Amino acid sequence: MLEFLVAIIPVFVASVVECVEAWTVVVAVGLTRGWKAPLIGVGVALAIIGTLVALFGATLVDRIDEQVFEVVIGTLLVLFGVRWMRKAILRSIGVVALSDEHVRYRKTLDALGNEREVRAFDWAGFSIATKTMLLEGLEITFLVITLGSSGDASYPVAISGAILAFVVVGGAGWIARAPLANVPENTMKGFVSVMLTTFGTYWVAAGFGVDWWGGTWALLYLFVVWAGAMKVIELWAARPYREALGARSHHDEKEVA
Amino acid sequence: MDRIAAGLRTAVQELWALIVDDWFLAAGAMAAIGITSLLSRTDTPGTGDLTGWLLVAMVLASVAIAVRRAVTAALPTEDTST
Repeated sequence: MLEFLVAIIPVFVASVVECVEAWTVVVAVGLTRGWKAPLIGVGVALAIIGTLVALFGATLVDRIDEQVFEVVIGTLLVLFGVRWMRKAILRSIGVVALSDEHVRYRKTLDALGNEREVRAFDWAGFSIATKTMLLEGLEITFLVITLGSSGDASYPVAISGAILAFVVVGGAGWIARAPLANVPENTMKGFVSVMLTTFGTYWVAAGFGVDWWGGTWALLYLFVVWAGAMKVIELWAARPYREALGARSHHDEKEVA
Repeated sequence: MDRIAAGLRTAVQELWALIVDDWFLAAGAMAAIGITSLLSRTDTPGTGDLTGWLLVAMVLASVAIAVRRAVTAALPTEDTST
């Protein structure tokens, strides 16, 4: 038993780190855009990884260039992230109406007399969840193959450690979703945009060979930098807009008087 | 054949709309990634994670400019009709 624990712990701990990264994105996307699409995305990513492992087995490590994969997925996450960040800032300033998608959805639903569900499948939520889970899942697979073949742990032990980490972290995320659901929608969308941009820039740079100081811990300080920068951009861009609105209302008041 | 072409066109448009909300922002982010790729090839020793920070700075600048552009476009214009 002790031998089993000693063998499983390194795989479990290493897999937890990767699972936290993947599940954080999935939970955040689920909270802001609904659960169906990101959960299907998780299933699709797991199916792809399962197929690759079944086809190539342990030679998978030599067949996939992880750095190219990081650049491609990182680029897509940056594009999604900056798009959401721009919109979250504009909502916060007041340039774009809060929750405009929800208003549009309600209007469409009302127009159709609530007879049928009009919301199309959320491809953005699906795509983000699939990509993130695929990248992290492949990293865990590489870990399992490396540790499983190196003699530190047998394949069944390494696979058990990875599955345990996936279930524990996924369960924790599922429990945390209820309190997180009370966070205002635009705040949550801003948080997701910061997270996507953080992961995106981290992976793109890592794919180009950048060694971030602190390794994976760089995600934490990059997150702080992106969150702070988002607030600064909001304050900087809001000023002329609010000044113009203030001048306009002052002008209107004078005309009425 | 026309139906296939129309289907492909719709698929590309859907994909484009998923990623690109503001062409300026998407172009800025892609340019930042392209420049990072070029810089990483020079492989100067001792630069550490400087290339990564340059990428962050460039993407950040793209977001700031894109937000400012949208705010400027939404500014209320002076009413000259009276």
